[in-house]
Amino acid sequence: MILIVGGAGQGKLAFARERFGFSGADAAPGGPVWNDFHLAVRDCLRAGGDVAALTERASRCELVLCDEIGCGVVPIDREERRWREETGRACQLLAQKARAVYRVVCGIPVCLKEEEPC
Amino acid sequence: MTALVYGGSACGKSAFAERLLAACPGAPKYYAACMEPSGEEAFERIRRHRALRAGKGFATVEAQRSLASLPLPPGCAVLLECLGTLTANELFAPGATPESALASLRGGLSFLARQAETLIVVGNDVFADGMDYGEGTRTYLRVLAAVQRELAQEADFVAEIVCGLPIVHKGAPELFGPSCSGKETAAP
Repeated sequence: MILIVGGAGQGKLAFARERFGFSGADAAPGGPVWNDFHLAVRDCLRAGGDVAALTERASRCELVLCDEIGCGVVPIDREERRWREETGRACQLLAQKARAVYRVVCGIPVCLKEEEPC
Repeated sequence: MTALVYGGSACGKSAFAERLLAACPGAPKYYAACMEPSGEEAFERIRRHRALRAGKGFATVEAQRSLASLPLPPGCAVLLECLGTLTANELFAPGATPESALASLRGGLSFLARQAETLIVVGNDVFADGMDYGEGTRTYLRVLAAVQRELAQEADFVAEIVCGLPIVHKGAPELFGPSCSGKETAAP
């Protein structure tokens, strides 16, 4: 699995498309690409679901894309805090399991981890 | 030659960008100020930035919107500060739409890139807080991210500034002059 993180609007999907040949259509449920993983974590928490199981499922994808959401002021709202914490921890787990991790900034991919040439 | 220098607030991006401007080819050297001079906080910020620039020989040119009509001579060097403010000015101007703002931003930046020997743009890192500020701000973030991505793609040099130090994502600061190695520089 390859993990691609970055702030909103930084060009993660465009990078995935260019480097790995995936399209937006591959991101359909059950497909090889899990786009907007941070939103799945939010929905999972709202539904009282199991984020660990969600993360395990994501780790079996070929490509996981997730917004970085933890760089603001800690929110007053408990659910908002929990969303950021669970997303951050899930990303740490995914990054451990990933064979490569990229952070996209201003459309530029920055390699954080690469076990083998991708 | 075009540079994008970005980061969070008070990360030292302005000071780093000014070092590039001081060292880079192109003359005369302009500081293109995007902030609308209104309100005490804006004046205070402007005072602080003016003090930073004092004695460096940069001429200030007001650049609040529609940069394609700025009276800048060919071959000059320009430091534009900053993209976040410029985007807000363009997007929230009376009668503006996201499309018209994008068109004006793109037209302005490509004009500057053509006209100037060196263009240095200060950008903003405001995309990773997970907040939803509502429709108006979502649009603002989308437009700013798009312009910043496009600029990064065209740029010869892109650096993220953290605690005054550059993390270089593209190119090398030496492009702008030997004194821009990005290592600790002596106070002027």
